[in-house]
Amino acid sequence: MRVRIDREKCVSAENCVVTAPTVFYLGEDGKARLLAPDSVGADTLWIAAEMCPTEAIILESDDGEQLYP
Amino acid sequence: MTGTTVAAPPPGRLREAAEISSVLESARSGKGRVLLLAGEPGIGKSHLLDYAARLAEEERFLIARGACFEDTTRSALLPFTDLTRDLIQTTTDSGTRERDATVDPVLHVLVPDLVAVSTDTTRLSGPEQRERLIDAIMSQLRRAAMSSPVLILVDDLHWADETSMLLLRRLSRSLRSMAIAVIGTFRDTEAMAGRGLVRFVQDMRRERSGSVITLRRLSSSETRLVLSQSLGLEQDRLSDDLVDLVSTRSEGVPLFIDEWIGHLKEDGHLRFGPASGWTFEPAGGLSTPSGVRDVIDERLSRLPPTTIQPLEILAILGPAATVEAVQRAIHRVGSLDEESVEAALRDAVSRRILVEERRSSSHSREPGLGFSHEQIRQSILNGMSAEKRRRFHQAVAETLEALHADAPDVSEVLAFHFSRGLDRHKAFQYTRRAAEDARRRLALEGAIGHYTAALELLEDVPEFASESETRDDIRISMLFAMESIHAELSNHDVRGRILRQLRELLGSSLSEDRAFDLALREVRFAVDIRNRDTGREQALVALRLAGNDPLRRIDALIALGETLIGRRIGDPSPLLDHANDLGGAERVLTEALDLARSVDAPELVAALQQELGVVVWGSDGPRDNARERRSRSLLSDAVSSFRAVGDRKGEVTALIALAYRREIADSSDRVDHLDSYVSFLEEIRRLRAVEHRLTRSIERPRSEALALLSIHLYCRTNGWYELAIDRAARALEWAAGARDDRVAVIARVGLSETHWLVGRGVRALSDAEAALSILDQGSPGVAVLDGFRDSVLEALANAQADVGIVDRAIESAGERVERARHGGHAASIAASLAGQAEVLSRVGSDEAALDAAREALRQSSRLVGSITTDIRSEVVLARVALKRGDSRQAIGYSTAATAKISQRQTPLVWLRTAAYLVHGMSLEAAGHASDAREATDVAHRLVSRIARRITDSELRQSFLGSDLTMEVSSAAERMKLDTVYVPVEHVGRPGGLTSREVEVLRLVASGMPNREIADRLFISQKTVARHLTNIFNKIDAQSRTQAAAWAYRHGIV
Repeated sequence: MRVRIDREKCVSAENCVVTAPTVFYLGEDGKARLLAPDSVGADTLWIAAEMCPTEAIILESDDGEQLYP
Repeated sequence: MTGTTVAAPPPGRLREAAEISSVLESARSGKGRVLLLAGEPGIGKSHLLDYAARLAEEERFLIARGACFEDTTRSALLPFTDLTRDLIQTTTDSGTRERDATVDPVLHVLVPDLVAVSTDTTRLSGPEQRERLIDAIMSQLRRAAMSSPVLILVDDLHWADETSMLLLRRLSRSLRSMAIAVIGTFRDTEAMAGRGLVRFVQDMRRERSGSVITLRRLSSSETRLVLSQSLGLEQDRLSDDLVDLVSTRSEGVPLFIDEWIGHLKEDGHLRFGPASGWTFEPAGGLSTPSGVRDVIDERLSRLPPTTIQPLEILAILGPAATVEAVQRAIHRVGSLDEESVEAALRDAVSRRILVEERRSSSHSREPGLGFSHEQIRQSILNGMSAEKRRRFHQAVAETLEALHADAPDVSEVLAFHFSRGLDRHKAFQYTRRAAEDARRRLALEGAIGHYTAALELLEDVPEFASESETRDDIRISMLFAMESIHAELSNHDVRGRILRQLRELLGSSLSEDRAFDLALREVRFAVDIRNRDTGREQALVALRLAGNDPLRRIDALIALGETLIGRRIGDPSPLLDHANDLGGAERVLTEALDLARSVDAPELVAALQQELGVVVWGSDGPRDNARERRSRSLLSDAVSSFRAVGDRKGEVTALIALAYRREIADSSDRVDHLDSYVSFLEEIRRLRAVEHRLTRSIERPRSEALALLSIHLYCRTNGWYELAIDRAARALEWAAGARDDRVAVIARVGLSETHWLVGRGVRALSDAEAALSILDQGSPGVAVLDGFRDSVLEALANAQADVGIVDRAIESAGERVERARHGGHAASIAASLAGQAEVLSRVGSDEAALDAAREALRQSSRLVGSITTDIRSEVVLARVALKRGDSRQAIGYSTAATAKISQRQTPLVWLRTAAYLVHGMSLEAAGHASDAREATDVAHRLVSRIARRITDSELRQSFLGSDLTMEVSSAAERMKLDTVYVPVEHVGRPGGLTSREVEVLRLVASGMPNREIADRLFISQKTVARHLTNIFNKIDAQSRTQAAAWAYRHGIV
């Protein structure tokens, strides 16, 4: 599974940082960035994406199909 | 046989039958599953579906059965078209008035006669429409499943179109909370099984949403059972010779067994006597064909020639057809009269070669005749010469053309027959039409297939041309259409090839229109594959070709703008990096906007305002107030413009873009504006839900539940516990109604954590236990949540420690560490160790806590960015060091923790509190009184803020009594913090004000005069004045300004 962040949508709520601190961190501009997406399992990524208040986290399958949102 | 009404499973299929019952049972209890039956042709897959249908009928399921066909794979959602029609008709039985409210207009593409078109949907791109179509069908299904369980049966999935597979995959994902069972069959011998099916099976395995059973061949005793049932004889009256013969020859393939029985009867080796029933007489010239095809061929060869010809026509017509269609087609190739045809077909039915079908074909709803098995049809087709097949296809094509010329989607069938017949001209025409029809039906892959076939056919008919179009015109317009579809599907490789082909084709005969069109396509392609140079080059070509035509000039300017911002206009993906030329884009798009205004093109104006709003705002870097204002004003214009042209999707997108920009600018310190930030987040989620409804589906209740949970998490993180509990409780309520275990688990864990944070250990424990028991039940819905068990164990350990079940707390924390070690992700190991260290230190096992915290730090040092884990471990290490009197070491750890926090590296408010508290206490122990006060003040301020936000007095009391808060307030007291923050006993309504007085004071502080306050609160000005006098007395204020200052100091505003 692949993770992308739509920085245009990110509003720095940090729910992703709380859910998966090794995957997400806030950059200088206050927008979420990716650290190590492989450091957790797929279910944690799912929850992080679902918990984003603006649906700025996009999950894709390995062949590029969008899984969430 | 037996007198019961329960359907008997096919012989030898007890295991499969049990599986079918269990799938149905599970669906009835609201947990849908998928069951796929795989196997070779003739193994009995369809019979099992028949059995499932009978079983479900007894249990009052709503049954929908569809099939996929080899010849018409391209029809989008063919197996679901009937189902959709039935669902719409059942759910809107009460009358047509309700129809519009409950039926998504996108269903028009599937059932145009039942649902009217709407511009809301036609504005969407092909893939977007398809997404929404799938959701609309799901909505209908969900609604139907609320009144009775639904069983969906689909035959021959290996021939399913991409859209059907998309629907099935999506369905299987949400099936677990719906009373819907899906049972499908596919041939595992078919090498050509589509990509969609393969992915579907992979999905199912991964998400454990269903299972695949491969049907095996029957044993000799099972064959005996088949024979006994088929011949109506007791098993012991069957001769062993017969069973041996059939069992060996048929190799246990059920279809083969049936054919053998037919063969033996027709050959005279099985004889019927009134007294003895069927008896087997092996003697004398038994022919023993060796394969199932041979048996079928042998049986077919015994048919009279007058029967064979109608069967041949029927086989060409497809898996099923009406008697009338056969009669008419025969008329074109032979001399057989109508009565003979009908007699021949009846004869075939009596021989069980044909069976009556509910529907004759995909484009006709009349009943008809079909082959009892596809293998028989294949044998007939194989027995025909290629030349004969061509003639018959031609006859069938002409017949169907005459019979169904006006039927929807008949073009595909006609294209199929004409392509295999003699008339290349018509073959081409219908294939081209089929491509257009398929595209309209959102069978995008199918449309591409038809276009490709049409292009090949065009090469075959060199003389072809019409009055209005030259051959090149046709070719180019079809290539353009293909390019558009591939663009929608993001098939960039193929797009590149098509554009190359178009360039070559257009090279010689370059009309200006075409050249302009091609240049625009080249730009979009370049933008999509991020080839900026080519994009710019082609955009300039387009701009030159546009000349003075304003509409073209707008298109060309937009294209140029797109190359400058690095993505398509209206594309919701984020804007760009520094490499893109935003300044240039702004100039170009501004010119386009002016032009669009001058030619009165409102849709373009809206799109350009939206895009310019985003571009003016820019991505990174400094931004002055003027730009922010301009961006917001453009976006707000865009909202009105989209509204004016009735583009709902555009309107919502612009609203969302505006909402972000309004808030981001104002939220520099959002902890102090938590309520406005939360309402902003809720507003965004609401808009997103509207957007979902437009692009995806009519109802998305689950996304609302997730929105609640997301607000919950945000509030919990930032210390707004009352709201956090409320939102999680609402999500939980929804989950209970919708039987969504996944949402339930997340909500329970959230509640448990929050209750623990506010010092309600007992409730925290019961929520954590409830979460655990949902996980332990292991329903299919939560299987994918296995990783969430970690969070459950953490919540459990915290709660257990809180209520004093020390052993269990240590056990739970330990279990979590074990799980993490087993999983092997360093991040989870580190996090679990940090959690364990916290629990151990809280219950007083300092030595063990030290070990865990140290190992957590070691583990996380191998990772980037696991800051939270580090802070948690350091806080534990500092606490233990402090307890042991080593204040120097304690300060070292607490300094490390607070330094990370001051760089905003954890949003968790409880962790920030704990870190500053231990930092203050360590400094105090080392004698640095003033620094200690400063650190403790931070912690004290945080808990004060949290307490202030709690309006429920019981909840506030338990928060104030929680371990962490007590520690903070006693430290603050000890250090004599002269805090300006609310004294805890006054939290809520400081100064003994009534709730009405607080309301009035709030308005006074916002600068409102008495008259407006009176209007706002629906009271008289006199009453306002009386309230004010009381307030002034209670808080000892002399003036409105003093009262406002007091209100600010006490956190009322």
